Amino acid sequence: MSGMSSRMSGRAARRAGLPALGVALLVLYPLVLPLLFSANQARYWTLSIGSNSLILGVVALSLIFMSGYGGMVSLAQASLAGFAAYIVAIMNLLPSSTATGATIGFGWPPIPSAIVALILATLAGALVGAIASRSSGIYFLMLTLAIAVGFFYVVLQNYEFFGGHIGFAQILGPTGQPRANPIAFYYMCLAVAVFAYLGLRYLVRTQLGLTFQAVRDNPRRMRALGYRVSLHRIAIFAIGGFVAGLSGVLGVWYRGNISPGVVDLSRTIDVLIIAVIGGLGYPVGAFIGAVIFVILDVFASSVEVFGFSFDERFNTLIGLAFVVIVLVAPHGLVGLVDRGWKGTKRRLSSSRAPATAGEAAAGPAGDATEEGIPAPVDPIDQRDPGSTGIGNS
Amino acid sequence: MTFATTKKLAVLIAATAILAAACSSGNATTAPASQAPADSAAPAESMAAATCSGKTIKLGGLATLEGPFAVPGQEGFRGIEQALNDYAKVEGKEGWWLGDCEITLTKEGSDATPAVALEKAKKLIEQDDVDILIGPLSGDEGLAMKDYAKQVPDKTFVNGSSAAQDTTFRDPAPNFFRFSTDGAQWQAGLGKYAFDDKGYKKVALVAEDYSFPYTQVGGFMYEFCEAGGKVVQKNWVPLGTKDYSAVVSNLPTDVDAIYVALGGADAVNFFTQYQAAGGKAKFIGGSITVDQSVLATEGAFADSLVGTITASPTSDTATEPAWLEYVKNYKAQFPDGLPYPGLFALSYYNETVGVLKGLEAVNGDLSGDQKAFMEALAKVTFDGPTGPVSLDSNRQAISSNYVSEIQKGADGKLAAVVISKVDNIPQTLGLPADSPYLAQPVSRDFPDCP
Repeated sequence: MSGMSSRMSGRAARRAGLPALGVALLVLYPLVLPLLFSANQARYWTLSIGSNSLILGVVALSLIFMSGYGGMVSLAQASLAGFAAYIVAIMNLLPSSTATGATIGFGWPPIPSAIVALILATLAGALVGAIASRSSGIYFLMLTLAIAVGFFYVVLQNYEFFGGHIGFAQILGPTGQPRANPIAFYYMCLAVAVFAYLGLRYLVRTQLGLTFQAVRDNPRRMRALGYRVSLHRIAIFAIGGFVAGLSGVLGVWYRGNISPGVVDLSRTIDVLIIAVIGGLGYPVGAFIGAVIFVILDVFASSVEVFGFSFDERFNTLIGLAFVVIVLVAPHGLVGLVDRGWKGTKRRLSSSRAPATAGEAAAGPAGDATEEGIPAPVDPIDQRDPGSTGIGNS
Repeated sequence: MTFATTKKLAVLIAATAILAAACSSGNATTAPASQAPADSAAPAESMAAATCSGKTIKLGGLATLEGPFAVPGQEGFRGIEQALNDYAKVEGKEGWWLGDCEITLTKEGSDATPAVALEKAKKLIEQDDVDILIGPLSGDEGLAMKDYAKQVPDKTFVNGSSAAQDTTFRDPAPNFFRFSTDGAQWQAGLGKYAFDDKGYKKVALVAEDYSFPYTQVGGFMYEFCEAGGKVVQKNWVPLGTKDYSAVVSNLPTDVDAIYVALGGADAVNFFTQYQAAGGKAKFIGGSITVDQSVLATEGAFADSLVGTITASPTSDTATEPAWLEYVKNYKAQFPDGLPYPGLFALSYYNETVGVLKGLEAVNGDLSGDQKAFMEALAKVTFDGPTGPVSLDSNRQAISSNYVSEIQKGADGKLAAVVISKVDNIPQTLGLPADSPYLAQPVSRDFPDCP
């Protein structure tokens, strides 16, 4: 038991240390850039690389939360983000007539617009959950995909509310035009990203969060224990909708406009790709994945190998890089590092002393309080009545 | 089925999507010809005379390299490269030169959505620090680019082939230039020809639902409605529509012709399904509806296209020496290009020639936030492959247009045969400034003459 507690405290120190270091680096990032680059390039790295990665990271985080703690890989997250973005635009714009002559726009300031958008995104998330959460596996994927594609066509062809193919332009956030004040915009994105990340990390340790994981691991048993499984799944969707909404709000302020291209199928799949390369089971993977995705997307066209320029074939290079990542690191890059680190640790400890019973039982997969989320366990394997503790806690 | 399976499925879908992306860009690609041999095409006019030295002039090129316009995007880059090869090659030197200043080209590809086009433009302007951006390709991208240009007043933005009307017509950006004509200008002469010569009085239309087809339809209707024609039904379909059965069954049968403004695969799908449903109407085609990419498609619908009238800034069968010279150079520089350079190649070509002429006028001097260069650029005039090109006060091209009719050649292949050509077409198509047709932006519902 004493070995256990020292292990825990070391872990706690590491838990506090690494994220603190990460946040410190992210805070310093835009301040260091002007020392390395020209003013134009510093702005580009602050906005198009830094802020953009954070915004994409937040929407990927919502997917990772739903997949890791709810066991649901939802393809509707980009659409929920886009929905929030549309609501911000509609609330924020001055009343004006659209192509069909209908009047749209309320002229609200940015922050109240964003609050309305977040509330509606949360409700929309719950609605998607109510539709999709009773299914599972490929049916679940297809349902959420259908919702995503359906939403794309709604905004593309609806002129009364969503402005049709051209969407809405000239939407400013509370920091104004991002180009005019890139550092303020970056810090706003960083604050939102840290809030979403820490909020979800906190949530999963609460009783509700533990219940989510129990529902994920063994819905049948939870139902037998009297929990309303569907309601919990809908709650996960609502939270996922809220987090995706945060990303959507930042995204529309970042671009200054919104059009159907932001919720099309490519964007839906981009979110999935970011989550997969970061690691579907690791919240921090959302941001790692987003940075890698953005860097690849931006610089693939500048790569030259043996005089062979990829400028017209940048997609081939991006595709190859992602295929390699998925092949080499099926649990994402964070998963690769995490599993490599734990494997080394286990080899070290087993060479010194036989593993303790507790360690053997916990193992890498059952280590729910660590960064990684345990792989969902098949209900069939967990019929042992001795391990019901989590349901009643 | 457990959620573990879901996660594996998700990974699988992601991997498949990635592969699809990799493949789609792979097969739409042809080798770049940036190192085209200098002797393959005699430079139309070398610019080595300009006294520029010691600087590098950085051009950025933006076109669509994925999505529905991937092939036109390739054409766009060919246009830029051909203009550089034709005008900025110096005997015995690698690369492109203005005097002793090297001209470099950095390329970026978008996917025809404004959001991606803007990201790529920011990368070119801010990260790569290009001086002049040439692009984008499609209508909505161009509108977004105009708004971005206003935020970066010290860089010059030159259009690619984007042809929405309001990119230059309303609320223009002072540093945005368009040496190509817009979608309405591309239809100049068609409405009148349809009404007067073909005798079409009543038409229905099928067009894609975004800014470029609005502009095309507008250009056609300015003339057609003015002449007294009626457009009795408008069908707007999303870009990339594959199933036209609802549209086809909805089309009235008592019209003289159907005006079709769809591009590439959309056009092929529509014509195929219309013919399969037994449709017999004559067609009037938008500028990218019956170009070589559609005409060369093997399909039962091909014969139904004979007699289709269309208008476009290029024509495969034009015979002017400047055009023939341009086509010869294109074929020499891009053996793997299309049989004829289309309007995308021509648009990017003219834009780039305009830039090079402007650079020549100021000897490559881009100092002073490019103010002197922009002033010179606004005054540039030149004889392009299809005729004279000049800019109006909104920095929008005034140039030539062809009306053509699809006919079957002796070899059994369909081609657009020139009926008439008009030079110096302004953006208003000759309508007076206070014309009711110009009072509103073109849209789904305007102009209207039911």
